[in-house]
Amino acid sequence: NAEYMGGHTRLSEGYSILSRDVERIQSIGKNCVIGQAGFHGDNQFLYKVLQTRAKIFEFDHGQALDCHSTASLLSNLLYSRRFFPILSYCLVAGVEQDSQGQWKGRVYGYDVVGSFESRPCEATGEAGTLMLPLLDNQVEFKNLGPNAERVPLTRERAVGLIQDVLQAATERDIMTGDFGQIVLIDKDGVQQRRIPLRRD
Amino acid sequence: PVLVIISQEVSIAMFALDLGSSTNAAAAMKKAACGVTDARQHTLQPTLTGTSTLGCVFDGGVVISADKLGSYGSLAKTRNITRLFKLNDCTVVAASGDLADMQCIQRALEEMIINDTCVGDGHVRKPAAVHGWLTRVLYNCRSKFKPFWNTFVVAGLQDGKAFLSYIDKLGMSFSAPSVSSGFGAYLAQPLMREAMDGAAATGRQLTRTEAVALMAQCQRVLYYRDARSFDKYDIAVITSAGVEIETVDVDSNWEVADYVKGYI
Repeated sequence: NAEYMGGHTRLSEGYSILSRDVERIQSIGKNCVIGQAGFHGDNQFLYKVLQTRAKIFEFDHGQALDCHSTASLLSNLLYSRRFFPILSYCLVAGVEQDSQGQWKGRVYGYDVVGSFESRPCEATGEAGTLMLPLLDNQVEFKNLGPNAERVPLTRERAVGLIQDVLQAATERDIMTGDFGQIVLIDKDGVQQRRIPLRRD
Repeated sequence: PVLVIISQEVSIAMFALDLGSSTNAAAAMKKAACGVTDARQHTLQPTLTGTSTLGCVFDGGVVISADKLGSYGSLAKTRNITRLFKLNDCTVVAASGDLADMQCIQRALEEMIINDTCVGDGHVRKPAAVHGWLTRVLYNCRSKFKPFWNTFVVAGLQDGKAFLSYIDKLGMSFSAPSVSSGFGAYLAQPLMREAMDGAAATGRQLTRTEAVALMAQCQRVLYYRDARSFDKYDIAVITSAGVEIETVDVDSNWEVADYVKGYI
């Protein structure tokens, strides 16, 4: 009934660090956030377009975009630039109510031209491949032996897991580091916190 | 000696006649002539360029600096270019990269400011607005494959708070307490970060004097090590009292040259 998204705040170009304080996770609507990796210029452009479309939706329909609608909109926006792609590796995460009124967390992962899928967990960006195996193991319990303990994912455990995963990525990826931005989305909205990461 | 013929028919063609003695200018022109004959490709190569621009935030304002050289490849062609321009009492913009593109943007910005004055409602265009405009213009032009080959630094006071941002030719932008473009990113940025982190460790920001001294130190290091730099620079300090711009000479010491074998 909640989602966590974690990201880092380093902006790099080649071997230079341009900024240590660039937030990559931003909110769309009340219960949804978008995290973006890839070309920062395209990320800024895409977020502006998405934000504007969300506002227009609210004016037209009198209610905020919900998570799966945002996900679908983003897919269409990305595909509209199929032949000059927006180099933005997005993740949309949020909570939405199902037909019984229960709040469920959802994560959608994308490629640059808009193909998307809802999954229990997802990681993207330069260090995505470093983080995904750990997430698969701890969230989806993949590749655990039959006697291994499958600890259910509570909120506290999820925060700890995101922190561990960001630290792990920072250790081995030169482009990851400085600060980790951890965002909690639940039915009451979005809360953020920061953790320090290695600055080297 | 170099002979240049420009014809204005379908495309622009440049010829360089190298009559034995090749100067730097001749070499540059010849290279340009060989590589760039299509008019469209003229937008994908800078011609007269400016090197690094530096900026840092201090307690009460922002300071930015840029040297006064326009380089034509390796030729130090124009030695009193102003790459720093004041827009109004709270915003200064500095540019590095192609200087023709910089001047085009400068004219557009200054026209915007004149329009603001003519409207006469007391509103001034603040640095965040200039930053937003510049980012969008640069992004959209690069998306049409006609980039403005510049890196801009926008500095000023936004609602009393220091504002410093960087926009590159691809329309990517960010704000940071210290920014530098070009070679400055490698040589000056570490010095600026060290000074600012040192101050932050004692819970304070740099003072104005410290920030200006930091600029002087960074410009000196750049003059020593950047082969396309110059020993005169403009420095702009923006505080709540307004914008002060002055031209400063780099204080450099070349006594070590006597000890270098091979130097005269």
